[in-house]
Amino acid sequence: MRCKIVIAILLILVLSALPGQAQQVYRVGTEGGYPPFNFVKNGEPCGFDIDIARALCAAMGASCTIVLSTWDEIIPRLVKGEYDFVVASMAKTAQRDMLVDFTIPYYRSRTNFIGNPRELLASTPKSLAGKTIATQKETVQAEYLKANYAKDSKLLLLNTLIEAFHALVEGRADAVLTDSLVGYEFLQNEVGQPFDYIGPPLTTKNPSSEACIAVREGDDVLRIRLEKALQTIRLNGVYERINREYFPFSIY
Amino acid sequence: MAEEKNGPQPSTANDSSQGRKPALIPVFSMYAIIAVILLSGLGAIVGSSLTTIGNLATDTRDNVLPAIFDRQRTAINLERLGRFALIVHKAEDPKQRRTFKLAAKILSQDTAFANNPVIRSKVSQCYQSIERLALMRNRQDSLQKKIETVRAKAQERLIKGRSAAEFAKRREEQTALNFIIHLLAAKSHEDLEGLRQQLDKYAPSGDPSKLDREIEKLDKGLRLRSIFNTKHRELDLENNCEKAWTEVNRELETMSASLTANAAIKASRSFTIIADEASAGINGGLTALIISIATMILMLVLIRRDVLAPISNMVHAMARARSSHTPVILPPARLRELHEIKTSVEQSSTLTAEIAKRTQELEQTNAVLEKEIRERSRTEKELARAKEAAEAADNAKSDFLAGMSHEIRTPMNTILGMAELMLETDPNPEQRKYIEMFKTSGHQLLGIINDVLDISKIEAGQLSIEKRDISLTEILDKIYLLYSTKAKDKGLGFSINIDRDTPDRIIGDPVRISQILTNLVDNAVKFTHQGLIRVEVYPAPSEIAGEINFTVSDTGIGIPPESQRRVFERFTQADSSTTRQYGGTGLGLSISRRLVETMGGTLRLSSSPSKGTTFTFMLRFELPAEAPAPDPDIALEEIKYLTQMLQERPASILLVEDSDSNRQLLQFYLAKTGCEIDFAENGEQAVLMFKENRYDVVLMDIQMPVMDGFEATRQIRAYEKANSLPPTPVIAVTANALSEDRGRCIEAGCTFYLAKPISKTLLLKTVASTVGIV
Repeated sequence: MRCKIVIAILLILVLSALPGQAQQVYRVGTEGGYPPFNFVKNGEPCGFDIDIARALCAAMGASCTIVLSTWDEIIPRLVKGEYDFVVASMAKTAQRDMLVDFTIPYYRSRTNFIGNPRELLASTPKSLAGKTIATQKETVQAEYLKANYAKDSKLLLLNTLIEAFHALVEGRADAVLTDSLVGYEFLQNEVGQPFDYIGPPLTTKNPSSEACIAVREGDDVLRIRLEKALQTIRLNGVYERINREYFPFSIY
Repeated sequence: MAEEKNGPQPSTANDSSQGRKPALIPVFSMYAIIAVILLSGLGAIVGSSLTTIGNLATDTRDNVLPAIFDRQRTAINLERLGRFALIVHKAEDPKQRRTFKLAAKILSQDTAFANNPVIRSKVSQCYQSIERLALMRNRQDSLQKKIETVRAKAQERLIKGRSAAEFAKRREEQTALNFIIHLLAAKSHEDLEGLRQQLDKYAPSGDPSKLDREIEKLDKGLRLRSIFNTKHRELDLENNCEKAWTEVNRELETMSASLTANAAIKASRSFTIIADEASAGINGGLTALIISIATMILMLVLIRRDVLAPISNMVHAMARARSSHTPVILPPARLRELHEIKTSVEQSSTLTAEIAKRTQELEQTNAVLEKEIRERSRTEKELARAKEAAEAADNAKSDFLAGMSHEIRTPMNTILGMAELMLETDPNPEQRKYIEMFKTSGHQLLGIINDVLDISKIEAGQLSIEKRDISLTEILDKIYLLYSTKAKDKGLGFSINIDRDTPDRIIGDPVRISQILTNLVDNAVKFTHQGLIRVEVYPAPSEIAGEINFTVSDTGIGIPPESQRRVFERFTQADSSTTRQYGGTGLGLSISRRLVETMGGTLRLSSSPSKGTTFTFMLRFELPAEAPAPDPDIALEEIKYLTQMLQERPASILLVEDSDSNRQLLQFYLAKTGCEIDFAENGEQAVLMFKENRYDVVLMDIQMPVMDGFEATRQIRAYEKANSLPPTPVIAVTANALSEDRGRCIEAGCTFYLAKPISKTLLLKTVASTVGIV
């Protein structure tokens, strides 16, 4: 009689646990102003980040919805709980790490100056003295400019990176400091034809070289699940496929 | 290990080698320690191997593998870079060219290259080559566009002129255009040279200047020379691009190959070391296992040989010993504990054998003893029968004697009575002499009979001790009276001393106490010829109330030590000759001793020949409760009774008292008794009166003027002696109750004494008893 009761209890527990597994829906936060990683096309969020986010959710056995946010709101809204994790090409800085937790990097890249090669020969502070340099504010790139170029050059910090590119195209800025992969996208556009990378990339010690996924502080369960999912999509080729769609080389 | 243990030695009973034999624990501990040390060593080896493996593996995982991956990645990226260079080189679409140039820039910045400065600089150079290549291609593009435009125009003109009229003209134009087209399509510098040689062949009418005219028709500013230049430049660019690309490609391929090889070698090296260490570890482990097993087997063997086998041997030996009753010798043991056990076992087997032997002896002795016991018991039975018979005889005799006591005494009393009567018949001196003689003999015989009857009574257990409230003083006074004369006649000193602290009133048997003391004093008097006889009565040193010591000592002939025991036996005197010398039945001491024993004491003697003898005994008496205030009724009864008795047999009393009042008192006391009382005022008068009359009793006051009571009594006694008169009882009446006075009274010759104040009862009682009424 005792055995039967124990078996019954176990069955109930197992059955009650099963529904919990079915179709978790993750809400993923992103910006939408960082092509080709995250941008809005025809009202829909698209890009490498979004594709990666969807692939990770699929690997975790869940579905996801994409929530757009401005860059300065993106962390506070995660902390508030409006979405579960952020895939927005965010670099892991010490300052940000105090507010949220980060996974291992999901792609790597360098930061370059972009400008007109006929007018700019190098990207040293001396060469850019007196010039206007534009970038998105509250980014690692903005911090770098403030630290190294504010003395001799004019800094133009804008709300979105797209505005910075506009400034360059319109001639209000002489150079833009941005991620080399984002620059890659811009330089292939019509408006980007006259421009090129100027000078060497920023050193790898700069945290901007690695993009990580942000989760809420202490959400180790989700973080580990995401890292595991990342490993899965790298092993089964999904990551590579998504990568190829955007770049002819591996960015991991 | 050889120096740790001794070789086998013969086990002797006195095994001094015991100290050198190793004990169990140390031996096994030693093996265990050796094994542990070996295992530790191996463990250390294995441990170090494992540690090395662990470290290497970790290092491989953390450093080598990532480095390998990085190299792989670098190699792949280099390959990619090469591919991009190819595309830049070959691409027709400037857009595509630009895309891949940008891609090459990004790739050249890859962090994988950053770790190796050599590769980094090479890659950077490669990118610059690619950049140049792109640039050249772009320039080539614009040139080729120009050439194409001209060629298209020429081709158009060629097709346009078809009318026969202008055929001849046309043919020249045709030839010129064909030549131009060929020129534009030239693929190499050699081709161009070839065409230049054939210039006049293709020029219309052999005139090269005409070519220029045709070319002008195609493009205003264009000349043959410029076409040639452009073409050369374009071909140069082509060559350069080819060269640049080949170089880049080769460079990248070399780097890529070396990286791959490097990575493979590094990985292989790490894993080789790991494999070696692993096999070393396995070897170590196996060796350790073998050593452990070997040690265990060794220890098992040792235990069997040194512990189990000896123990089992000993057990069997013990069993053998038990059954055979002989001691066993065991082979020597190798370990101290087992050696001790072995020694114990041998000893115990020896003991067992000995026990068996003793048991046998005991059994034999037992058998003998049993026989003896049977004999003994038979003898005992006979003895018992004999004893019974003897006892029966003795008892019969005692009974007989006891029963006969009355039978014997009666005729004796008759004989004595008759003697008295005969004396009263006023015999003549001769007859008186004979009568006195046979009266004396009769008394003696009666004494002997009494003694014999007494001892037989005592032995028959028919003697009973009375318990009465008595006065020691009275008893002792009597004795004194009895023997003082005898002693004085022999010239001996005689004193009776009662210690002050001695209780006077005791509960005892006066007759028997008296008898004891009388016997002892009698003997003392008999066997002492000079010196003194002393009787002392004092409380025992134990200070227990009622315990009283009595001693009778004399300075007589003494008793030799060898006879001292025998004197207490019946019918013996110290020396058989003493009977002849001294007479006596020989029962006296025997009786005295029995009486003392019956009363709970022991009669002891100490004596040395010619020095004297002392007899001592201690008796314990109950003390009477304080003499109750004489119940006046009882007292009255008693007085009445005594008065009656005295009336029946009135006595003649001489009352000597100086004090008027006392005299009157005494007179008053004696008033009813009907006694005749004569009065004397002092001793002198008393003596005079005594000489004149006969009295039954004299009441003598001691403290008197002129002559005190002592002197008076002495004189009376002297008078009596002088006249061979029997002593008249003299009752001393004294104010002092001290023992000295008592002694003096006795010395003076008083029979009793009374202490003032006198009670009527006491007076009457004393008088009555003195005269023999009570």
